[in-house]
Amino acid sequence: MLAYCPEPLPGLRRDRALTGPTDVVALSIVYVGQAAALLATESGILVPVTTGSTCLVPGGLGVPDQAALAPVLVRWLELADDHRAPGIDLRAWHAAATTVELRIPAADRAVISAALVAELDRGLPNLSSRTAGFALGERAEKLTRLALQPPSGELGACVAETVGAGMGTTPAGDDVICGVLAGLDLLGFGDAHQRLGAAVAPRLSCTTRSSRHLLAAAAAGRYTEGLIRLATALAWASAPAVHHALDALARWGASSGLDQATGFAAAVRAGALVGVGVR
Amino acid sequence: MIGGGVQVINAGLPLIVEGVPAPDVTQLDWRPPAFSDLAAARAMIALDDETTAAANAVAIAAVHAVHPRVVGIRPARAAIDALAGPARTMLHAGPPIEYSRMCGPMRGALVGAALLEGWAATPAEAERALAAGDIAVEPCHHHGAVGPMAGVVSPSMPVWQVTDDAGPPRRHAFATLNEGLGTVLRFGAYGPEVIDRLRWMAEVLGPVLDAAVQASEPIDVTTLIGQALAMGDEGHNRSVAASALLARRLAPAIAPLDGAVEVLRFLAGNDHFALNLSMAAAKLCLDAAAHVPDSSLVTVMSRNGVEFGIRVAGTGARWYTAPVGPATGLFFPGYGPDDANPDMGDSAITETLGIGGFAMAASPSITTFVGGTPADALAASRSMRRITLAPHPAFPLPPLNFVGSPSGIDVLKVLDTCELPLINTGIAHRDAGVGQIGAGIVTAPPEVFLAAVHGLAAARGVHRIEAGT
Amino acid sequence: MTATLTLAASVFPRLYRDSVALLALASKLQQRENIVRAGVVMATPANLRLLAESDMLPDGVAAGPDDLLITVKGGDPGAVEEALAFASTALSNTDAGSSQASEQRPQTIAEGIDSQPGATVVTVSVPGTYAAIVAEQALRRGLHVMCFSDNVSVEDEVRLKALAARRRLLMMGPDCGTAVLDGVPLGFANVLRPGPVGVVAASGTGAQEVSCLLDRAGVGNAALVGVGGRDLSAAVCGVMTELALDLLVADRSAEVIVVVSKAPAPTVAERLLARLGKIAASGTPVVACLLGVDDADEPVVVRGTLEGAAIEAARLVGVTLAPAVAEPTAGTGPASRVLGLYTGGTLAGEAKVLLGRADLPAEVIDLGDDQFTAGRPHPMIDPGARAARIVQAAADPTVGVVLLDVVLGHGAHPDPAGAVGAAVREARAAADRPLAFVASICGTAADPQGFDAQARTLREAGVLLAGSNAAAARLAIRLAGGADTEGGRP
Repeated sequence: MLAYCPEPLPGLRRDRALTGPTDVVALSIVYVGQAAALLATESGILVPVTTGSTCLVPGGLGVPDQAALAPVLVRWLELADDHRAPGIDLRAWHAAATTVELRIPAADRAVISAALVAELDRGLPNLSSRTAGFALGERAEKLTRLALQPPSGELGACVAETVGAGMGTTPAGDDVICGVLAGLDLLGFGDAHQRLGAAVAPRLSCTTRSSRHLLAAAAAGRYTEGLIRLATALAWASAPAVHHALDALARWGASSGLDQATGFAAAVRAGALVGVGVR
Repeated sequence: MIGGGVQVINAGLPLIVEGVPAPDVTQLDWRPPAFSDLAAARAMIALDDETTAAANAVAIAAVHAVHPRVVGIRPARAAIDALAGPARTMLHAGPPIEYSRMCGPMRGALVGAALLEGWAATPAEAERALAAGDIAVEPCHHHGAVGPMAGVVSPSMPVWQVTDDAGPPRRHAFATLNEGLGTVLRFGAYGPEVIDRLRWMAEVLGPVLDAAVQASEPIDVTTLIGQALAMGDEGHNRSVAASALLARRLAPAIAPLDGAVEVLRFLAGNDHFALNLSMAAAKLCLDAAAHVPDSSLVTVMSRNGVEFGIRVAGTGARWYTAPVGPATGLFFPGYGPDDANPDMGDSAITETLGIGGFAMAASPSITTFVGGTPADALAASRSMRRITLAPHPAFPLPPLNFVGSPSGIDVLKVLDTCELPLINTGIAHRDAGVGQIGAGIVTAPPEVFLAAVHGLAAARGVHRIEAGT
Repeated sequence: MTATLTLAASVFPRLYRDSVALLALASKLQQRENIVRAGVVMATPANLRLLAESDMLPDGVAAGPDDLLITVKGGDPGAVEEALAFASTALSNTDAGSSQASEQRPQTIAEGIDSQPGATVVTVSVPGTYAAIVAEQALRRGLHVMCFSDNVSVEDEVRLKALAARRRLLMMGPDCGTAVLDGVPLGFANVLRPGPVGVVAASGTGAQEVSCLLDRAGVGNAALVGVGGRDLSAAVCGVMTELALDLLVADRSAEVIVVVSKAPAPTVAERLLARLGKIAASGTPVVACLLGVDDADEPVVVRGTLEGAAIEAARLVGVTLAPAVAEPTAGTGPASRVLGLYTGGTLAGEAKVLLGRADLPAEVIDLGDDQFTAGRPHPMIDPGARAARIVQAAADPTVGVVLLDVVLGHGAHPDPAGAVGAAVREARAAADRPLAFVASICGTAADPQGFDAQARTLREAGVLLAGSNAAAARLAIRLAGGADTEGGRP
């Protein structure tokens, strides 16, 4: 079977977890937005192609320039005819791409300064979501607290109320959960991370396809690049890096980046309350 | 004094709005409407009111609400009342036309069908019977049917039957089975090879497909077309994706049946097989609005090789016709414009619904095939928005941000913009039996819309009198 | 209580939009009249539950997590339905922002409205045969029309104005040369300071002259509504004049209303004066400027000249506007014929009235009349035709005084005085006798051509400049040896 094989673009990057090139032999389009294209493998796994320098997404490919992606997609649509399957073959991109590890580096855990957490809080807008129906920060703190506690039905109920809540392609509730998972990860709360991830798993069908993809990745310890940068900035104890990472997140999606940061910050703060992780 | 402030649309000299702040002005690229036919322009404006708008909203909603489902494949004599006999009747494409005025390929196809039915022993005998009226001919569209190219339907031919589960009354539409490319009846060929294939289609293909349809999950044709558009079909000149999807759906049910191998081999070799089903579905959809009073929605566009004809919802069964020319496009090696037959076939029912030329953006490869560029494909679909009532909710076009294909031609918008419907079409040789010699694009002739607007205005006049009595 | 509210929903299967777009849509929906609340969300169970908790989920909504759901609650079913239709349109219009968006300019009225949904006025200057069609398209879509085109039949005018009046829309024209609505000039329009005088004009340059005289006296303009030269004819019967008066009165921004027209048909005049009498009685003073009609103060103030109407309107707002005194008449010409070469129709009409009262040998030509403009631009746009006639006047030994108008403002030629000046110099050089040129400028200091600069150009060319068209006519009369019958009047 033939497919459109675009030439690699300069500066391609990919999630290391986007494994064998067989995954990207024949991709179909799910959704094309202004700055990203959501592709899917034949088995239905999403491969988000995102644009921007810090916008790589789990299981996805990153193109540095938005203007470079559009002609490729248009060209692909032009080439679909009788002799070519309506697929796009991104093996060449896969091979040319620099791999990026979308995990929070283990060495950076558990060295968070309280001053930097305060810095992070200052950088966040005071979000009370108009659409999720709850205050994102409080919900994130509750999720963190329940995840850190011994297993109870309460966590599942709280997750059920949060998954899929909010407007847009990735509802704000899901972004908050991704952020909390990243925060727990950074603080080294492996058990809590696992408990929250397990509570999310049965609820995946309750949200959008793209959100499902991101939640499943976060439960498996893989996050959007912007969130990784923020975690790394905290671990480096660098205030300018924190601000820089927040700026980048603020440009991610409509409010998704900041919703994720809100979840992340709440988890880090809640971690401080249990006296572990924050210095 | 002006609620909302002075925001100006300027039709004419820019000088007039010299003193208005530029952001508050939209300068029109104004041109005379109605192809510069003043009387038609006046009729257009007389109809441009709430009554027409409301009727059009009803009409397009009715069209979009239809979800054609395949009932089965049945012999035409059993499916279409007019072909049940005992009178010898056949159907043809396009608006009504007598045998004596028909073009070569259509005559050839009728001769072939007469031979197939055993109504004549020789071609000459068939011609005499047709010329004498011993074999009657009527348009497919008069009987809920559609056929590509010559569009000839005779009693023993198997036809797709589609229905909408809404109702009552339960409505049906029909189309012949596609013979494939090459030497085929629809291009006017009637040699032994053609007649043998038609016999096989009646005796093996039709019954096997019907059995497979009955044994399968119901086939929703709207969904099938929608999927095919996402896979690069435009639904008229390119039906390869729809054909593949259809074959995939039916193959498991065909496999256990007698004759399965030859049927599957036939399907594998016919990239246009789903076209006829799409046509039947489009016909069923548009028939839902066929008699909506006061609506200026075009419900039929069709050609008989001599004339182009349209029907409009507000005037029901009335045809508006004008002479038709050949398509412009690309010719197969060895052929040129001089060999081309004037445009022919009921397949423009696809454009009438909003696929084919209207969905060109879905299929840039077709644009290349008919001599354009991929950018032309996007432009074509965009320009058809100007003359249609609404995007089709079930036919999103990926390259246009998944906005639905422009659907439902409005006679008034055609006249207001002077933008003519684009129709993707195959080009037949002018001599019977040579077959397809190219493919291209035709635009509907302006005259049919000019005539239609007068017809609509006259119909509205009648309504007013009725309302007054 | 929610009992009286209507709640309805629309589902858009597998439709993805980012949340900025959805937020913007939700807020637009909520701003609509009679809409209480709107929800625009992906139909995840969590969102459905939130909607249900806030009484925003209608019964029987079937939608999944990948479907977009819009719910709207409002005061009446119509508003809710319209809001949902609006949402549907807004969601389907997203292609406009895509990179390959069409560059095509709108061609038709409907397409113009699509690209400028806030449009309120359509200006029409297409060929007259199509002008009625374009105007009707605009009126049917609820837009006011300013129709500059002429050659529209009386039947069409009557029909269009009846349609407009039913919908309380302005149908200005056909053959409407000027309008100033909410301070925005359309067509041939002067730049007027805002102020208390509302003008309804069945005559373009007449309204311009009245409002310019007032402007130069410091009295600004509230609105200038043109209605077209035939509005006060027996056939059209003043339909649009009446509607314009209604709208002006309702708008309350005009303290004084002036109606400017050539002398209307007697039956129409009667009706108009009755209507004006009612307006005056209810507290807004009115002046009827009916060209050539005898001045009267009861029951309605009537003035037969533009200048007279301007003086009266100024008086009504407490400003004294004296009749313009002609400049000193150096080198008075011999008693001979006055030739008026006009670009403004009503200015020509006013000159005819005054010259007629003086009973002098005179001829006034309106070069803007159809018989001179067929196939060429209006002389206010292209001064060439008049320049040629100015030069020709030198060769006519019966002509002693040439009377001119110079009209400024948007739409007019960028330097009409320059064209006049050049022609005057050429005529003087060619003439074998003393020849006087008298002009007035219809314009304001703020006009693009600049009043003072145009005045200087005329003076430098030896043109005698009067402060108003009426004053110019009076000066011409004196130069031609006649008695000025008007000058003494206030």
